[in-house]
Amino acid sequence: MLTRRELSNVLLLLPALQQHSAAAESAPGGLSMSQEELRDIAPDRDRALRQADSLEELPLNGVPPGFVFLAR
Amino acid sequence: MADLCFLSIAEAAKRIQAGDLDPVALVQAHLERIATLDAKLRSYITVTGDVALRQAREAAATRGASRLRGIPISYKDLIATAGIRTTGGSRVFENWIPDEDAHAVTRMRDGGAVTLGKATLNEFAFSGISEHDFIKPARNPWNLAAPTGLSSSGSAAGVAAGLAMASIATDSGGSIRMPASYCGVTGLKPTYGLVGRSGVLPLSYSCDHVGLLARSAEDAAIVLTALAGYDPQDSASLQSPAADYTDGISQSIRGLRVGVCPEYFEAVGLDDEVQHAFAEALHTFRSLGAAVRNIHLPFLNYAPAADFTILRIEGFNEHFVNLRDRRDRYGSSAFRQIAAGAFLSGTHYYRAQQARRLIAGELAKVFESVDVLLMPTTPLPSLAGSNVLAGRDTKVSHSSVAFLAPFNLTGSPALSVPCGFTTSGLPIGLQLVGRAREEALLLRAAHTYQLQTTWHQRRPPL
Repeated sequence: MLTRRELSNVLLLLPALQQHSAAAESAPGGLSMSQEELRDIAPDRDRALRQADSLEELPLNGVPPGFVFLAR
Repeated sequence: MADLCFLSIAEAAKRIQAGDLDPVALVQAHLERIATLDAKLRSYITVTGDVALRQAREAAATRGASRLRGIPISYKDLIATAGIRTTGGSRVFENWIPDEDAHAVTRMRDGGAVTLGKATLNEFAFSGISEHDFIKPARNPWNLAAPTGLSSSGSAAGVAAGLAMASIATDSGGSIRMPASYCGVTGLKPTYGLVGRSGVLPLSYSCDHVGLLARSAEDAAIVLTALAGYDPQDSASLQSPAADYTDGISQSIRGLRVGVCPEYFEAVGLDDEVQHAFAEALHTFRSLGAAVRNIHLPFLNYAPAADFTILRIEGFNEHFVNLRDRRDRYGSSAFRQIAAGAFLSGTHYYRAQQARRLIAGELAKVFESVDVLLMPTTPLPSLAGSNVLAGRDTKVSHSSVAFLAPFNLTGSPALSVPCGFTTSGLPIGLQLVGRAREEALLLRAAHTYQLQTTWHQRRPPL
């Protein structure tokens, strides 16, 4: 299965979808950003993605989400 | 003046009750000390001298039995205080004067605590710090060039320096415990939901905890007794019976089952001086009759990543409207750190919540055979020492939140107390972690430790 980042890279190679991909990059999570802001935020974005992607290493098959905390 | 400002809450309460200490004199001593020292420490954003003196006069005139009557405290400046500016450390709220007190403030005021002012934090508790920030960063009273730890920086610095007897603050990824460790005070992140959060500027619904900093476990217990309780405006609030956390605090901890996780310490990598101080602390616990054993938490090294993934996504969504409509009011660091959550997906969030369940499950299993976990609060002191053991796990090695973030993820109560100093005079912290709602046990263990040691009684060289 492709990760989100791999899928994003694939989309960039498809001319028909390139405009859509560029629009998505400039409006992450519904928040528009200029190219300069995207450049500035790149290290924070990459760190966030690295940390989030690292969780793929865990054996999470069949594990329910922890919305109800066991600590409660 | 300094002697009054370094009284414990326990001692001050006794003297106020006995009529030997005037709350007005206690508050005046604090205001004078703030006037003398805070220009260089910057632990306060707003000092409320007139309010404090009025409240102190009210406390002096009443005869209530509350141990907080007349006790001067501060609030981290993302906790709403009626009629008192509350900024969140940001220009977004630079002129916000709340109409109502946060739940935590109401609890403290009902106990007669006096509001000295609003403590410094970095912007929205989720940004870097810089001398160009809207709110200048607080300074560490042990060494003005050393970090205070974030984000409850002013709370910790102020309590350490005798500028408040306690501070109410928040912790979403270590924000009470790290500054408590770096500034040599006691910091408690209670069980998730034990202290109500209404009226607190939110960062992360499932990681935000309201807690406190004080100069001893006994004082923390007194404050928590007033602070804990159901908050009908906070849907995560626990309905727990009222508890006096000082009950039984002096009982022996002989037989306490203590767990330590050396393989995680090795994965993170500990500074030599932190490792030494921790070993000494373990020795003290053993001498008090605690039984120490190794435990295994094979997935704990993923906890910081899971906690921060959740925090970033939830934080981005909390801030979305302001990020969209008032972006120019954000500092550049806060904007980058909070808006980075926009790039994370629903899959990331779901996976992080699964990781939460996995890690909480392994922790619950460990707590079947131990009562308390012990670990350093941070792997490095405020100024990193030499000869740091190289961590093997690059995800967490040397991460300042390696020992902190897991317990925001699981909602477990966690308490940091001073356990030593570096050769350069900076504090080192010891963290105790317990089962949900077992703050009384954590505080008893910490208090017993503090009866045997004097680290928490040292004063910074101001």
